[in-house]
Amino acid sequence: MPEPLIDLHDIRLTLGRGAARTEILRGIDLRLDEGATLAILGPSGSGKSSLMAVISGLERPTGGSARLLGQDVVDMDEDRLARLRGHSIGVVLQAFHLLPTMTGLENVAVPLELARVPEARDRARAELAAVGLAHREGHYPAQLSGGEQQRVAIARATAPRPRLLLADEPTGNLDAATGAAIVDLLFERAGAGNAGLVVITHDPAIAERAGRVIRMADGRIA
Amino acid sequence: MNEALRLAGRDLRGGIGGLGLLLLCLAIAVAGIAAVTSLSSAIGSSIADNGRSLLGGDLMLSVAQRDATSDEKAEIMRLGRSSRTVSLRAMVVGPGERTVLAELSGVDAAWPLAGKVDLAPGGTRPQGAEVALGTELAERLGVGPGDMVRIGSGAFRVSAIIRKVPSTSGFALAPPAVVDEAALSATQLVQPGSLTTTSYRILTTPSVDPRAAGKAFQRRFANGGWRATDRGDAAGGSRRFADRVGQMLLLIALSALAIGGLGISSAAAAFAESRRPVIAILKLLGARRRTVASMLSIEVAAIALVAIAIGLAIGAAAPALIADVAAGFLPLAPDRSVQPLALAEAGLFGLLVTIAASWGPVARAVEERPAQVLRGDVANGSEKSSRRLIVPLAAVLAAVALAIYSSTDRQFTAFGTGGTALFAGAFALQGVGLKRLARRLRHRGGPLTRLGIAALDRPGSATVRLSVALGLGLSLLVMLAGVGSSLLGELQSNIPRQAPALFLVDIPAAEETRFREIVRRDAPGAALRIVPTLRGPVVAINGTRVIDMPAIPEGAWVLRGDRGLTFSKTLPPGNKIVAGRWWPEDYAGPSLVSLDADAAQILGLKVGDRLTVAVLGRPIEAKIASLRQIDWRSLGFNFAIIFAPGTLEKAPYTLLATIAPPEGQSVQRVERALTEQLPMVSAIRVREVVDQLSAILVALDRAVRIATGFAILVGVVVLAGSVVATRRSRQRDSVLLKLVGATRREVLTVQLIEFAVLSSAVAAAAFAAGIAGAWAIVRYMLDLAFAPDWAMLVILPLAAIAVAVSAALIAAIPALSARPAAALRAL
Repeated sequence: MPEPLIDLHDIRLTLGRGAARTEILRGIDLRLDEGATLAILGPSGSGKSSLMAVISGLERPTGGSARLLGQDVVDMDEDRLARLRGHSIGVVLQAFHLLPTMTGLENVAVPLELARVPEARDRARAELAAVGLAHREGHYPAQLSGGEQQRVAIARATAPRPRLLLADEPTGNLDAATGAAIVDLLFERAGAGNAGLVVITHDPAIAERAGRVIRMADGRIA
Repeated sequence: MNEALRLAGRDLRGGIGGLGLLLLCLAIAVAGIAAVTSLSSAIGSSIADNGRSLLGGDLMLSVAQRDATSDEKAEIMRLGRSSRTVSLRAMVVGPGERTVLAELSGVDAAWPLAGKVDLAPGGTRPQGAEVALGTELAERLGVGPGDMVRIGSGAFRVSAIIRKVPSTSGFALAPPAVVDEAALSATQLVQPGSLTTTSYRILTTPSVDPRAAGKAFQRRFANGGWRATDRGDAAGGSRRFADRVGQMLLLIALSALAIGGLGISSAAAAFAESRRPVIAILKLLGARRRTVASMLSIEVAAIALVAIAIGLAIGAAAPALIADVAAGFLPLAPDRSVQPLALAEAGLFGLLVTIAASWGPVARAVEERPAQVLRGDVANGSEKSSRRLIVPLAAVLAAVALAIYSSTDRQFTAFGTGGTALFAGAFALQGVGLKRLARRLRHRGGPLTRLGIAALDRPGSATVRLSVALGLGLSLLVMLAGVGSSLLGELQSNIPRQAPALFLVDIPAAEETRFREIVRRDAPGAALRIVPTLRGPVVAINGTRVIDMPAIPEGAWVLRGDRGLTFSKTLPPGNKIVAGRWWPEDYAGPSLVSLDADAAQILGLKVGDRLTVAVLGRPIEAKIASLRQIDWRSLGFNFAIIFAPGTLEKAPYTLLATIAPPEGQSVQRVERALTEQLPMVSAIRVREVVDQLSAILVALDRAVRIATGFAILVGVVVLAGSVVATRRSRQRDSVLLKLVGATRREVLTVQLIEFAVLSSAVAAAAFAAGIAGAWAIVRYMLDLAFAPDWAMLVILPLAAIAVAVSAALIAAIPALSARPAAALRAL
């Protein structure tokens, strides 16, 4: 039986020190299999984004065990985590976070180039075309609309053909129509690459599209 | 105002938001200026306070090659109590026939009238056949109290070692030897024509103004060739030297301040940016622009005052510190007390630069519409307004005016600041060029290269400022090091190769044949040149007495003190006629002179004009027949004033000679033979003179390099500060790169590319500019061949790149090591 993409046991995350010490995650157990989709719902401050940070290897849990794509990530050093992300985990964020000094095409090519993928630009071009932005590849982020920027971000996340795609409030900065289109695209691209997908959202309509929905409150899965 | 003060206080409680860089840049730059102005002022104050003891009296009247006439003596007596000294160069012969040139003085019982002769313990003032020797002289001869030495034809017992003697000169080519005036005759060195100087030091009566008395004496005995030095002008040479060096260091310190100004401007911009929300909210709540402007100005001023205070405190300690560390290199010990005027000047510079650098960013922030900020627009500044430039421009002009006004050589400072502004402009242009190039090249190469290159043109990037900040300091350093090493090279290798090994002075004209024989026997094959010489001052130009001239032109050294005079039938080697004609060998007619062309230009003299010199108290007027270009580098006999045959021959003169032995041959034998057989002849070893000059030059070079290194340090602080100021965009880039799989090394590589490209480009341009500047100075101002120490010069930009890149990387590390998750939340 293949190893799950995400396998978390009793994950705890505490930030700050002394009086400012806050328990963000209080014993999370979570598993996601290859190709599955999951939506995480919950109010602000419930710990959704922190859970996402742990799943993407951006945050190291203070307790529990975490395996991503079959690898123990709790003690993995930052560079190996970065490489793991680069090859196998794509991340889409609410605020797009594109590199402002690079064109759309260059932004998509960056992870491929860092992973020394041959013909990175051609693949990036194909990826941009897949999100409907072939005609905007030479534009800078500042010259693109919010929806277009998020499409570039999705193309960047899916370009290395990751096994796991993570999206943190991907429609939070977009209007309803654009947001719906982005969600369609996200599910479509995840499906096309047979990648597992985790979407964090406030929106129950988006959550409904996932195979499984969990709700978070106060650092726990409700 | 109270409201603004209260708001400013509250606002500052929340942090100084970027003003840390202002504090650092301003404190360092003001410390530099305060150190230089304080040291100059401390040396000046030391000269003023100790004028009387340095001079050994209130007024010194000196005359060459003769004593005062009875009339002159009577006038001297009338001025006050006096002491007479006769000085000349003489060879002191120690055990083993070791010889050292000394400044021998025969002193009367009243010496010293003022000041103190500091003798080593156990020493006594020389009496009878005794001599007191300067420390250096005794060391080189290997003698101590009780030992015997020979001077001229006399044998003397060393009675004391002189640690310090009243002296008007910080640098003397020959160390002192003091004998009783009666004993001087035992040396038999004082002969008609000997190059002696008779000085009368006078303690003037309280009603007499020494300067006026000196002038009056010179006027009364205008043809006597008297030189007057009063206590206010004691150590005039040292003061001129200290002034020149101080001037140069001040210019470097001002460049450092200008570089610091760029950092201050970055800091003020970062501060203004950090206060945008505060300003918008205050305006929303009804604060007027004036209140907001006052609040921001108070905050900037408060930090600036702290910085200036720190800088001044460091600068105030400089004279005492430098007096301890570099005592050997200073012409005289600086006054250790605090120099308030010098500090005030440095503080004013700091204040003006703060106004110039921070006015723009603060004014822009005040004028921004709050809606823009509250909407979350990026700060792109309000409309450009030329009105906003008025105050900074006025502050810059005031700083330049202050620099020129307070300078002892205004032309030098004006040229210096102009040159610095020109260099700054050139580096700013280079920065603009670099940004454009980055814009064109930012799509080339891999993602790391692309990001690194693109960072040079990122919004808010300080590429232009950094080009100026790093380029200015480095180009100055390369230029000064180029000039210094070229000069040292000339002095240490070329001059000794071309110059004769020995200079001989005080050869009696009657002993010429014997002298020639000794040289022929003991230095076979050596090139020997002999010229007649006398000494005397220029006393009038075209009939106008020098004493009556309202101002002596700058650089008119030919009018200062006694000049060596000679006469010649033929044009000396190394001289070239540039105007007029050289006289025929058999010339016999009215007095003619040939004058150094540079001196003539400074004095505005041309062929046909008249020059009067005083020889042994007798004025001799001569017509200028020609002007000569002299190659001073040859270190041969280079006389600014040469008479045609027929005028000076009748005066008692001595001969000067140079001996240049064939390569590899020592002059020790001939020197010893001359000391034995012609004891009145003094030998000056060129090597020793060169070594002494080299030591001064090396010390100067070091001081200048420390000062320019300091300017570079300010540049590096500006660089590090600007890296810190762009931490948000660096953090964003690094986090996003990590998000898509970049390792820490790759993230660091991006920064490395940015800093290496920037500093290499700036260093290359600064190197080129510095070399060009050094070449121009050496070639056209010093008239020397440009032969710097290339190996050392090449290291400078490489070292600067290493320092700049390291500092920038260290400054960038906090941004790069931010926790990605936390940073993403903050972005």
